[in-house]
This record gives sequence, structure tokens and C-alpha cells, in this order.
Amino acid sequence: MLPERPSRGGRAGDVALPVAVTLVVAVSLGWLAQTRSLQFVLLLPPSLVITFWLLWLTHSRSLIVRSSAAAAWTFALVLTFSSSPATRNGLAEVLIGSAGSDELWTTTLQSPDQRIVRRQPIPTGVPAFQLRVRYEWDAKAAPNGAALPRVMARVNETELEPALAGTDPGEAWCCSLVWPVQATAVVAADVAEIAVWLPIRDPRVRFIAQRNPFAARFGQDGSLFFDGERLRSGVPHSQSGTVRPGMLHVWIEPSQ
Amino acid sequence: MTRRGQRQAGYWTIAIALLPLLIAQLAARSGGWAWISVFEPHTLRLIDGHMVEYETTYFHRILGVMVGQSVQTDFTSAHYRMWLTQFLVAIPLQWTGNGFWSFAIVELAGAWLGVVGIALLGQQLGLSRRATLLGGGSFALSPLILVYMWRHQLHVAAIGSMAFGVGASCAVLFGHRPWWQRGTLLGCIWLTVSLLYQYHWVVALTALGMVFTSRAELRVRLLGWVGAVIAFFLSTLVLQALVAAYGIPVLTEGNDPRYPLLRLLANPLVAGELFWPLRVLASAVWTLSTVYHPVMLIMATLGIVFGSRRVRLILGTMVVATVGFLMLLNLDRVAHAAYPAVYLGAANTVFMAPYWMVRFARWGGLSARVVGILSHAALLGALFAVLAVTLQTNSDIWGDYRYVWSLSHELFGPMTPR
Repeated sequence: MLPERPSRGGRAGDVALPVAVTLVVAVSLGWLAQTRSLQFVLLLPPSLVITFWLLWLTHSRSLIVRSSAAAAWTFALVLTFSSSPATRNGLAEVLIGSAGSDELWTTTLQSPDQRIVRRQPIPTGVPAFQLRVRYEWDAKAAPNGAALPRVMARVNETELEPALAGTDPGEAWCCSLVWPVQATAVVAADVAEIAVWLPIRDPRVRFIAQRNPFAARFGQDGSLFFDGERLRSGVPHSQSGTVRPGMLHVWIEPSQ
Repeated sequence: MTRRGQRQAGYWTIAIALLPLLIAQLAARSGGWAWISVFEPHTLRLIDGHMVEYETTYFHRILGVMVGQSVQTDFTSAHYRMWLTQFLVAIPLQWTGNGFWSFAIVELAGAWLGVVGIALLGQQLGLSRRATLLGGGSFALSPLILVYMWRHQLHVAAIGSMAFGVGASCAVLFGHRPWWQRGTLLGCIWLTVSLLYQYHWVVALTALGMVFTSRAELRVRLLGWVGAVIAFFLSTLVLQALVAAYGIPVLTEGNDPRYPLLRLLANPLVAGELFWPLRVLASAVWTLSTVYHPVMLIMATLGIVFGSRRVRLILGTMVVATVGFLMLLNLDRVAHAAYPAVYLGAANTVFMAPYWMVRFARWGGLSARVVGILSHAALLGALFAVLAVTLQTNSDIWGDYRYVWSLSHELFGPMTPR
């Protein structure tokens, strides 16, 4: 699959062409990045590696073909890293989630009556548990100086102490609310039912959900939404105003 | 076209034919259905409206420098080991501005590079095209790449580099060039693999197994291998000097406390560590056994042990080198290095089976021709059935996804059912 035949370009072509192409690639990149030396350092070695493979894979071709391929590659390289017809954007900002996403979305609760609900099997043999609720903190959604919102949670029949949201935006896995959960609150039943709500509506707290419900043992029946009147299977998607299959990022885990 | 050319074209056909299968398998887990959403949902992030893993942020600054948007970046050993793939991501990123698809296209190409590598290796090992097709298909449908796809941390391309590195090394070592050309080309192949990830250690050791496959040209191959080691180290030193000259830290992997063998070498007399080499070896073998399905491992062992001398030496060395690598760095992903041996070895067993059945039939007095035809038909039927089931279940035949869970177990401790 890799060429074995000697090049028809002859010995002079075998040596001169790689040397010439290497020099042209290096000088081109040096010219492009003359004011950005680090860019030159980062682009040069991989460019030369690709050049090597290009020359090797065209090794059995004529000198004209090889030279043309090398020239095309160098031209493409210069064109790519000098001017681009599209944006010159780097990698887009990496988000925790977004309101409009269908794959990983953030959602608000519209009234104190609404609740997001999870049903989760509880493992045996774990000495202590904690409840984790992942959310995005949207500080711009409320005026500066507004009091931090309280988030309420209930596990089976046990209501947990209110937790303050917005206190951990700098945390690496931003943002999580974590409550210690007494073993007695969960081990009595094989399945824990977790409800989370805001006693006062606050758009700064955006709960996170994902499209794939099968990360949860109960699949689509593991994430539910209480709209104030009835419990519905699915996760709210507040931007589209729908309740859709998914998995809430709310779970009970062993204490760390 | 010459007979040799036709034979080569046949293996290219295998690699091209498996591309739709590969894409179909990976596409089934796109759009928010990636496996990472199952076992590490808290690590999910969004880029360009699509779900990825948080590790994508590792490449943010370096890609910014590559496309000329910023002038400063950090450059860790992880960046060094994926230097080439980051460069390849930067090209479509510069043109389209879409990071998600720039990563995706490079990852897909990297996965296919693995298929090409298996086809190339199958050819070099002298396996039949059907056996190579089965080995390549097993890889294309394996959980190995599926687990990493759509995470956008460039591990899919890294996995692909292993088979390609071994296949290309084989082609060069068994080629018809003087030793110094073989050495130079091999050194360049290993350098390429070292800039796609860190499987160059296994590739280089496997190449040593290739050297001793026959007496013919033994000296030329040995000299070529030694030349390659020198070429690789020299070129790596040049790259290290280049990045060091710009104040970028050189590799620090050797100091990594996760290297169990190095740690133990430093403390050989620690109480309870009297049999530390055996303990580390056992741990490495155990890790290898947890990454592949037991049925696959048994079949691979049979295929390697009862294979040709070339198969035994090359694939056997690959497995031993992987175990050695695992002794240095005991991570599941290191065990991926053995996949060409596992999938091609298992495929070799499947296509050796009729041979053994025919021998058995002769012994039993049956018509060898009848048994041969029936056994081939049964095996091909079984192959298509497995492929069909695999596609239906996203490779979760035999519950292969226990690998996924073992990986998450390693990273986060015992999983809580959510």
C-alpha cells in the first residue's frame, strides 16, 4: 500500500525536491508569522511532517507530479494561515450549556410551584450520600446586588436545608449545589425520588439537562417535571417551552 | 496491473469499504448521544452548539496561536503528543471557524487511519483479505473508538495512529531499500506517531519483532531499526530544543507519579514490595484483559500462537510491548496499543478454523471438501450476523461496554447508578 518502486525522478530529484520543499515551507511559514514567532514554532514541525508524508506517498510518481503536489501543499498552507475567506476565529467559547441547545441545555423554573424531579435507584453498602444539582449561574439575568437565591430540595419525604446558589461560580466544575443526605432518608426505599425547586423565581439559576436519558438507570422515566399541576415525564426546555425526553443533571452520589 | 498491484489494491479496497461502516457506527452516537454523556455527564460542555467533553478546552489557547489569533499559550506534554492533530484541526478551523466539525473531521480521519493501518498490517502479515476485512471491521465496530468519539480530545486519532504506525513500519522494514533509507523512513514514521500520541514506544518495539521474522535480510533490517532509533531520538531532540528555545516546558512525563514501575524502581525496598516486578506485571496483564472482551482475547491468543512465524513474532511482540508499556503507565487507554494484535489475531483464528476442521474431518473419514465449504459458509454467516448485531447495538455485543464502565471506575471510583 505504500510505494516501493524507485522514483522516476532520478537521484537528483529524490534529494533536491525534499530539501527544496522543506526550505520553501519553512520560509513561507516564517514569512507568514514574522511578527508571531510562537505561531511559526507551532506550525513548522507538523507542516514538515505532512510534507514528508506527501513526498513519500507520491514517491513513485514523476518529478513533475511530485513537484506539483508539493507546490499545491505549500500554496494551501500559505493561503490557510495568511488570509482566510471565512472567519479568523479561533475555537469558539466552550460553554457549560445553553438555553437553545438540543443536546445540552439549561433551563429555568418559571414559578415556585414547578419542580424538577429525579427518580434514582440507591446502591447498597454506601455509608454516606450527597445530593448534587448541576446548574449554570447566569449573573446577568438579575440586577446587581440582588440577593442570592435559595434552592430547595427534597429526597423522598425528607426536606433538606435550603442551599444558596451563586456562591461557587469559580469552581472548576461550575456550578454544583451539594447537600449531605442522611442514609436514613434514602435506604428505606430502593428508589429515591428527588425534587428540586426555587421558592422564589430566579432566572439566574439555570438547571442543566442533556438529551441522552440513558445515563440514568430509569432512562426516560428517571427525569420528570412537575408543572404545578401534574407530574410529566421529561425535562423542561424553557426556551422552546417544551418538556422533552432527557436527563437532568441531578443525582445522589456517595459522599466524597 | 501486476499481481502485486492487484493484491495491494485489494487491501486498499478493504480500507475504503470499511469507511461507511465506520462512519455509520460513529454517527449513531452523534448529536448528544455520545458515550461520554452516559458515564461522565458532569464533564459535558458545548462548543458551536454541540456536546463535547471539557478536555476540548485544553486546545483552546494553542489553536488560537496556530490560527494567528493570540500570541501566548501553554504547551504541555499532552500538547506535544498531539501536536500534529492540533495542526490538522487548525486548518479547517481557520477556513470554517467551526471548532466542533474541525475536531470531528480530524477524529474521523484518525479512526480511518487505524482501519488503513490494520489493512496494511494484514497485508504485511500475509493474512488473507477476508481475515483482514474481519480484523478491520472488528476495529471499526469496536467500542475503543466509539467511547472516545465526539469528546473532541483527539484520542480517536491517537488510537488510529497505533495500527498505522505498525503497518507503515512493517511496509518499510520488509521493503526493498538500503538500510539507511529504511532507518530514516522508520524514524520519520515513529516521529509522526509520537506527534499523534504516545504509541511510538510500542510501535518501535514491535518493529524489533519484525526484524527477526526471517534470516533473509536480517542484518539490513537490524541496521535499519538501529538507524531508526537514532533518527527518532535526534529528531525528537531537535523538536524539544525548538520548544525549549521559546520558553515552552520540555516533557515531564518521566516524573509522573502515575508511572508505577518508575516509582517502584525508586523505592525497591519498600515493605511489601518484595515481589514488585511480578505485582506490576500482574497488574498490567489484568488491565489489558479488562479492555478487550474475553472471547476476543482467547481468539486473538489462538490466532497469534497458531499463526505463521511472522504473525507470531510481530503480533506477539506487540502484545508484550503493550504489557511493558502498561507496566510504565497503568492506564486503560495504554492497553489500546494492543488492538491491532487483538483484532487481527482473532480474525486469523476465524479463518484458520476451517483448516483445523478439515484436518479433523479427514481424521473422521468425512469428505474434506464438504466440511470445508460448510465451515466457510457457516463462518461467513456468523460474521455477517455479528456485524448486523453490532450495528444494532452500537458494539454492545457480549456487553462489551463493561470497558466503558471500567474506565469510568478508574477515573471516578465505583459508579453510582444515577
